[in-house]
Amino acid sequence: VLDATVPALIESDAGAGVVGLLTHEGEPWATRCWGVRIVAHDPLQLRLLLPAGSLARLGRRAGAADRFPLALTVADVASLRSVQVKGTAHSLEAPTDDDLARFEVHCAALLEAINTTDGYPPELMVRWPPTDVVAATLDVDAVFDQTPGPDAGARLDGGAP
Amino acid sequence: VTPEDPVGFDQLSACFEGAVPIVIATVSGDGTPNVTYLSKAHRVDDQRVALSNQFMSKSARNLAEHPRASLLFLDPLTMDEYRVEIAYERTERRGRVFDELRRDVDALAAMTGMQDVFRLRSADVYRLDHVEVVPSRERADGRPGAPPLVPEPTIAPTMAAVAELCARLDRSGDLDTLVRVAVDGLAQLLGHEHSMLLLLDEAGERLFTLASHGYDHEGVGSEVLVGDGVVGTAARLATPVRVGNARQMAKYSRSIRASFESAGDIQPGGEVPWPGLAVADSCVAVPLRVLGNLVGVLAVESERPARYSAEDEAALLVVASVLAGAIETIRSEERDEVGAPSAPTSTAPPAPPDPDLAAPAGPTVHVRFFAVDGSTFLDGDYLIKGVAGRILWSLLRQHEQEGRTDFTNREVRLDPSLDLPDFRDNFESRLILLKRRLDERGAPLRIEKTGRGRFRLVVGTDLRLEERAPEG
Repeated sequence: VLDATVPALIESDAGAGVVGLLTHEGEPWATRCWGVRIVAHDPLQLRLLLPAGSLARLGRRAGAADRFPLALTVADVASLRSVQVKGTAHSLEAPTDDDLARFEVHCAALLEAINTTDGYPPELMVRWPPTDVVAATLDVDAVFDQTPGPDAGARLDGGAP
Repeated sequence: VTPEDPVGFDQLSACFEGAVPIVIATVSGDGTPNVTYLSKAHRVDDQRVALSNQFMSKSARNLAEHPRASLLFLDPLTMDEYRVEIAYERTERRGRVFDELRRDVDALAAMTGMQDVFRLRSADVYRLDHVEVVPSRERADGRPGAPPLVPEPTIAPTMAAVAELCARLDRSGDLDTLVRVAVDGLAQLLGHEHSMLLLLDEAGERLFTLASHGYDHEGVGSEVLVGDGVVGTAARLATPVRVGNARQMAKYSRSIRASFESAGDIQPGGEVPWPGLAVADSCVAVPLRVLGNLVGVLAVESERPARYSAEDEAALLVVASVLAGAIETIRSEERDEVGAPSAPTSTAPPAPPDPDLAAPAGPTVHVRFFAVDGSTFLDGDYLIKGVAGRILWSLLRQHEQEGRTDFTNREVRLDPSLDLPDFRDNFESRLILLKRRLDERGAPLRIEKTGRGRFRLVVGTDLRLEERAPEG
């Protein structure tokens, strides 16, 4: 049973999302993700938006039927409180109108939060988000505290360490 | 740049300043990925990076099982991203790379008061396998991006500019001129609009500001404890400290501190206040040293993230070296004069009439002096303390009792009430500190140099002197 603040952080507009996944060759590969939404709570299932261009160069495109391990860390840009979820990604597909609306809302809020906390000007930050995204579904197997400090790596979902 | 263009670490130079946390993805032996943030990566050479994150235990375990990682850097000036694939090569526990990494960690620890928490045990060195650029606003296949962003230009520290500044320092005839030329020259020739020069006190415990440039208040006489902040850390470690991510460091340390405080491992404490600019994001502090002895610290700072490069740091080291040598030369000459045969003070040139201060005018100023620490107040406003305060009090008493205005450094420094140490005293720099502090405050008192080792106290109003003796 997750503390209520964990789902709130995962979906937070001020949360910066980063992703680690496996390439077809079994190597780690880092990217970012945007507009994370919780689709189901039990078991936890998320919908996230990944940069389409980068993912295509990796050989993973919308419509592909593959399933692959994926880790997602969301960090609050002001406090750096962070949570990491791990599971299996699947169902890569073109974003829906709802996805794109969520993407726009998240980008605007995140850039404003970064401007407030770190001082980066909006006219610079606006170049950061990708122009095209692809949607993915993540079936979550485990949830971890990822906040910098001695408790980083602790399970938050009651699972074995 | 496009994703297909070859990329080297030179293009990522701004990314290594830590202004934006780095993403690191690893994978365990069973194929489960892990992703987290790194506060900073250290560039070893054109083909290697070293990582020092203190709290990435899962990443470290993964790397032991599968020694390859994917890093994601974000350029804070262009928003271009770089995906860097690396492979573990070796672990170092001593040597240049370890020392450079430890310097970064020690600086972070000192700036946040968490020396017991941040401690480098080893430096893991990784070999570069591949760099892929992800240009800003050009991430979708075939989509045109926004026009290239041109970062705000900065003045590169050319050899000619450094040489010119050193030549100006060499031509400076006294300490007052030297420190003014130094901070002005840093702005004019090297583009450092905000700078400060601090000297080490007699006890070796504090640094006091002798000159600054580019601030609302010059801050002459303000002090920093050795070991505190970027400036104090440069003094304590006697090594340059370069920070390009002060705000990120503050956030990171707050988060770490909160975690440890909740675990009861350390006591709550305040952050070390940042000197100078209220929102500085970049700073370089370099020690002034002569023959291994610390003289002071020269520091520059900027509101921009990742403002300073290794070249800026190197240029400042050259300037600091010349500056330190000049300061020590002036002090040596001062000490030599003390040991020379006495010259009668009557040979001091007569005081010419001062158009502004020839006749005392204006209301009487109340000068209050506290003998316990030399702190001195003018009409209730704090002016200065320590040796500089005692020098002023000595001069004012002689002015009141004997009407004297002209003095020699030599006679004043022998006044036992100044409480100067027998060895390596700072009389000249304290006198200049007093002079600059009086000028900064617009006080009705001035100190004017009248010749080598001579100066004049100019009093522009009536004074009422009051000494507060130590209680008990």
